[in-house]
Amino acid sequence: MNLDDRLRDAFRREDPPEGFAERLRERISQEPIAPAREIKRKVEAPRTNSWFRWMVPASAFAALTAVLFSVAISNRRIEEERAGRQAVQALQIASEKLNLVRSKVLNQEGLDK
Amino acid sequence: MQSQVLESQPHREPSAQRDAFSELVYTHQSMVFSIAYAFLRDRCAAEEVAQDVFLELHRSVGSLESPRHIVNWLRKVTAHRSIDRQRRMRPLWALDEVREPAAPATPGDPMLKEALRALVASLPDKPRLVMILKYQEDMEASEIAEVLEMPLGTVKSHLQRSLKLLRDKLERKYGELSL
Repeated sequence: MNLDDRLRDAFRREDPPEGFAERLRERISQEPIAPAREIKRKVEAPRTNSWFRWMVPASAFAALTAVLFSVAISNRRIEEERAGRQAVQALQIASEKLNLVRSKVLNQEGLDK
Repeated sequence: MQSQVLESQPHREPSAQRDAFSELVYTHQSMVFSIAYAFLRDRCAAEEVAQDVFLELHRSVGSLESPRHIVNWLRKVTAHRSIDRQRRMRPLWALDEVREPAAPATPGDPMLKEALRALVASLPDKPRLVMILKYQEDMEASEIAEVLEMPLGTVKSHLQRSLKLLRDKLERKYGELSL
């Protein structure tokens, strides 16, 4: 018998103490552990939720940005229109004043002659 | 096969799944317990390790694909749990502290077996596991390397060094036996 055989002889498998399987069953029944398949689903679910959790504020932020942008554009357009109207009004006033001055000049010239 | 039984029949009754798991425990309990016992040399600690290993198997049995996968998984997890457990226990005796039998041993002598187990138990963690997997589980060096996640060369050198150490120690005491 060489050393290899002696070691094989010394290291034979042996059964665990009596009641091992029952004690294991008891521990399994006490643990609130789902089988792996269910655990996998549970692990995947929060991952999907977290994706949605990011999507909701991102969408809200995008919508808010769009609203603010359109309000800014609309305000700018109103300002431009108002400025345009004021410019036209200013031109009208200037035109009226010029006409007035022109008529006065023409009247004065008529009197001189 | 047991894993395939559990995995391929997701709509199986829970009681049937329990039976399949019990079958797994029945098939592999002596392997798991014996690896832990050979490593720890303490039956209570070995049983606790074996229970923890099977609890872990119960949690992850669905992800294991084949019987070979299950056996390798059990060996790997048992090895790691045994090392963890060993670190929490008091250290085993050193090689030189192993008591020598008073009378010369004869082949098949329980004292010689006990001396061999004690000598292997005095090896460092990894070489000890390599020896246990080699001589208890009759595994090839390449299989041991896979289970213990170490290079094949390391496994072979652990085996050679451990065997030389054991041979030297035993030849001094049991010179008359052909080792």
